Amino acid sequence: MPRDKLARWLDLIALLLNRQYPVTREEIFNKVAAYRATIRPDDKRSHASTRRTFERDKDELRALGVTIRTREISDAEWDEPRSGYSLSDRDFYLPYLELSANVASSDRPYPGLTRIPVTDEDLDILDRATARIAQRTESPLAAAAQSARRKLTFDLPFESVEIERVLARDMSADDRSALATLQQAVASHSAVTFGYYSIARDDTAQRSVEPWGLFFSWGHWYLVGHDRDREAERVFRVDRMTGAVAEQGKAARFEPPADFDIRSYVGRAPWELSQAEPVTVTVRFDFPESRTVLARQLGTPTAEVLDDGGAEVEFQVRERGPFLRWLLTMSGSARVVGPQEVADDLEALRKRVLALYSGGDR
Amino acid sequence: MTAPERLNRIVSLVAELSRDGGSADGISFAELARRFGTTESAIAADVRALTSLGESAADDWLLSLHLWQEGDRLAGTSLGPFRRPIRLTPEEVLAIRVGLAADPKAAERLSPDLRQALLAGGDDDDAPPAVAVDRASLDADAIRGLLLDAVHLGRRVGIRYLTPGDGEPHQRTVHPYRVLEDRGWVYLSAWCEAGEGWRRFRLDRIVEAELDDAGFDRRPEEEVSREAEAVFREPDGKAVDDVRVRFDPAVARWLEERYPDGVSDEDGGLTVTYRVASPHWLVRHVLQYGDAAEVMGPEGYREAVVAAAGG
Repeated sequence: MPRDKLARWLDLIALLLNRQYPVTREEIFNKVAAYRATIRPDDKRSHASTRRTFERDKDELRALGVTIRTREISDAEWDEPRSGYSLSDRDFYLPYLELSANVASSDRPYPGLTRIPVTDEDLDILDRATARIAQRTESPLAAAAQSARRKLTFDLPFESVEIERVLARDMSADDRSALATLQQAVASHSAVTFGYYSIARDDTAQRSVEPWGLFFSWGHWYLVGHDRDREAERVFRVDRMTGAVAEQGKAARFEPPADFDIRSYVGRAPWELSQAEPVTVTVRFDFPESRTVLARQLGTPTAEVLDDGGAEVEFQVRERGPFLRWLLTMSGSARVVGPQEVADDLEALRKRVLALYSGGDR
Repeated sequence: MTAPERLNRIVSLVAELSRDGGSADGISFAELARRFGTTESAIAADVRALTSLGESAADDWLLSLHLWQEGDRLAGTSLGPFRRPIRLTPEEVLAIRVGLAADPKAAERLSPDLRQALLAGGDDDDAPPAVAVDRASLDADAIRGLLLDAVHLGRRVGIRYLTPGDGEPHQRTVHPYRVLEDRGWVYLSAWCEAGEGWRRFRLDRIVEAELDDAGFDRRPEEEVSREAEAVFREPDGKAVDDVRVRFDPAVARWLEERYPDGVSDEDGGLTVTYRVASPHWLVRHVLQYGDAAEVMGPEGYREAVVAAAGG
């Protein structure tokens, strides 16, 4: 199915772009979910068929100009040399086409890419050359010329008349997922109802909400809106919703407040996403977890890089549950310095988790 | 719509949304549809496809992506990949060449670098890259790259290494022999000059690594072989386990949609089987549910969760 292939390609590309060294096939098969799902450890045929899929993926990507290269890795003299795969920025991204020399380096996220100076005359020539072919809609190259133009306009301001016809406007969701419903409801300003599980209250209830905005952070989608029953602003995790449906009729229409700005929510940590009063919690992290916490900028360091590589960080915690569960995933490398009440809650949670594994047969 | 078209569009979409640190007001779906020559539904579907890549262990890159929608306007930032469009495909290059051929004098007037980039024949060189960096600090991937180069070239490496609970990081000069992965952790197996013995260094505890110009005398081969046969297992596809996790009824309710293959039990709980290459990842994943999730088996994974939770 095309969607599975797309997800597989994005995973593979992101994995290889992220590494500065060749990656073995074994590691690729372990890390890319789609390959991992098809390999049965003791079944040679599943290995072979996954390998064939991988080879086909590389070939199809190469036809797109995405060149995954094979490199030999020999990490020890007594080993057979193994193959590793790499994808450099240069083999994936469009080079920088620079009309002017005044481009800030912060606008150039990939330093390894070639920079090609472009004059006004070049611009004019390219503009016309691509428009010429794009307009010959009967030519098989027209589509390629159009997509070439789209890529080039990322850097270059083409002047020519737009060639693309504007296609159907409707954003009807043929996807029944909660997210698809919400995307449309947010765009059309119509209220939604859904079942929602609240971990804090451990219950599921029907909610009626005016969806002001959606955001994706830390790998999850969130909805911000006005809860009609509680008459207050709330934040919801989209993956805790069931049966999301857009309401119909005049009563469904609303206007979000003029001063609402979704950006104030984006990038907030999950424990900061409510209207509850924040509690300041100080946590000490050991190295190397300290490095991850600091890199993600999740709190305010009070003491960065202590003698042993650890760090002490202050958090504004509005929702204690998500915060404690996050600390729990740090495998004992996180200690709550204060307040004591929060340290006690973390200890209680730890004990409850351990209780699951002690005593009784499974 | 083919996968190549969608891939192109999704990468360009992220690039467009996140350029210049993300536009303050965002871009409307209608405008995006026009720019990409498609429908608003397709753009919305692309956003869903991009963010549904789910729970694979390699998806840290999704954490560097932030997107938001207010009304019919979309905006976002990416600190990781996809901040530029994909390079021109061979077909796109051909289309440009054909367009240029219609006005040959124009092609001659193109700036040399541009002409070279667009009209030069074949593909880039296949020469293996030179050593990428000779000093890498804090970035685990760069450190690993440097160490692999050092192993390949037979060069000494200076590392600054932190063991938990120690004071200052230790400075060591080592002779690197192999970089190995074991159960999700990556190690350097090396001869340590100061300690005069074989050591294994976990890569995420290496704060800094620097490549030395000098090589080193290899240890006797029998010793090197013995060291290689010890403990470590190379990643070989056999290191994938099926791990069963049971979720409490309360949580199970909203997980059913995400895990259609999950098995419900009489009490309303849901047992999901994960195919896991990295126990480290699975443990973190389970613990984020607190006491609403329990690893049922294999036993080794139950033990791993207990250890991680401080038991």
